[in-house]
Amino acid sequence: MSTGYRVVQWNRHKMVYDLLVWTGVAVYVSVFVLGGLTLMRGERAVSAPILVMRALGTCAIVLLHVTLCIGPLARISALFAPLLYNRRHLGVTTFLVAALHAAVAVGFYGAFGVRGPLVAVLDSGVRGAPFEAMGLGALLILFVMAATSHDFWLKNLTPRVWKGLHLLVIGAYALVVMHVAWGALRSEGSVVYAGLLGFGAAVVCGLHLFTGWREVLRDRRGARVVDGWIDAGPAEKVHEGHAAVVTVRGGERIALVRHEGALCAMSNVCAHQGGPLGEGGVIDGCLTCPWHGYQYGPCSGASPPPFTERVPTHRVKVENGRAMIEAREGETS
Amino acid sequence: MSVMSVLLWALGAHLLVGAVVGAAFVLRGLQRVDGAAVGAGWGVRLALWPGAAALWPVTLTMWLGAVRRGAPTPARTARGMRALRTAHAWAWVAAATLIGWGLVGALAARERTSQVIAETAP
Repeated sequence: MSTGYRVVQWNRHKMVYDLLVWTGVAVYVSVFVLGGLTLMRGERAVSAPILVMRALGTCAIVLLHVTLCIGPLARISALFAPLLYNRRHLGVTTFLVAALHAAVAVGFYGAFGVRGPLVAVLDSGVRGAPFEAMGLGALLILFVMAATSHDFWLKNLTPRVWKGLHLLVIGAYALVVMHVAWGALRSEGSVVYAGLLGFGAAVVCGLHLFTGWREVLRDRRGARVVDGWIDAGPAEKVHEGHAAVVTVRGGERIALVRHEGALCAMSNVCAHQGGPLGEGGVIDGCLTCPWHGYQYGPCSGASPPPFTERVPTHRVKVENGRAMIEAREGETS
Repeated sequence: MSVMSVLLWALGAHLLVGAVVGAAFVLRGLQRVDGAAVGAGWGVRLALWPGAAALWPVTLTMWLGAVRRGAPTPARTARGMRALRTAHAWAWVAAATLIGWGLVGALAARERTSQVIAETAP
């Protein structure tokens, strides 16, 4: 959190997560290459460098699809939230695997000409389709995202700018799909690969469109502010140690939490990455963000010492059994 | 010189300047920008170097204090998140449209290429 920086804030969960990811990458690439060398013989034989290039490329695409599906899946079911916790590591892994794919491709296709390898590959273009440039564009975006994945950048660019910068992944994904569709698939006779790519794109885009627009509509149908107060519904619906998300028409969401019998309200936006605090619960006396575990005093909005994060709070009153939240943000102390 | 060569030279120049600015920043400027980075180890500085290099104009602006940014207050963050949710939804609409057309176009181009190959084959 806010007390100092380390290269990686390792814990057991992250170590297991990374071990599984890198083992998975190693197994995938090994099986792909060895399987290709063993099964594709004679006229269908493919050289080892091309198999390695294809293995790394398809691995990066699979990783990108998984990374992009985690966010919307976590919005649909809390079961996927543990995957969200370490998503940045998956993103950095995706960049590294994609960079290896690019290095092998540039080395194999462009290393022996009179021009620079990168220029030779980018200028070649299969039948006028600049699919290599699309791949390079996607790789550059993934590089910027990986390079700014550290908490230092999140804090100093501000979460809003940082998350805005990382929306570029949507452009990177579109470029990757185009890179494959206008490159490898142009010379591939089977429709299976085109079908797989189309299916993957449909799943990723479908999940994001479904959850994204559900959130936008939720915002638009939020509670109205009447005389400076927001009717958050029956107070009894928020149980001890639990929280609820209150959407406000024209405003940002609010987390309503019950702790030691009292109802308290604070901004629903975690100071770390903007996670939904109202979807978390009270752990060790603090409302805990379901995304990365940042914690805040339920009624003060302040992180426990030595941490210094704060979120704005709101006054709460109960009238005729209904929780009423003051629209104006209060000062945390 | 092709357009691609010019773009690659520009990219190379950007990264070269970035490597120098980024190295200076992680060695000398880090702690001036963020108090939490005081005493940061070599591993942290090395991890921040690629980002400082890639975004070197931003890095330089932060370091020199050319733009006086206020501290990222929670209220500013909260207001930004609602706009980001909307931007995120629209960005996926644009991406889905682009991907859909791109896939259909690539498949159509593949069919045309197959026909040309079949017609010109001896």
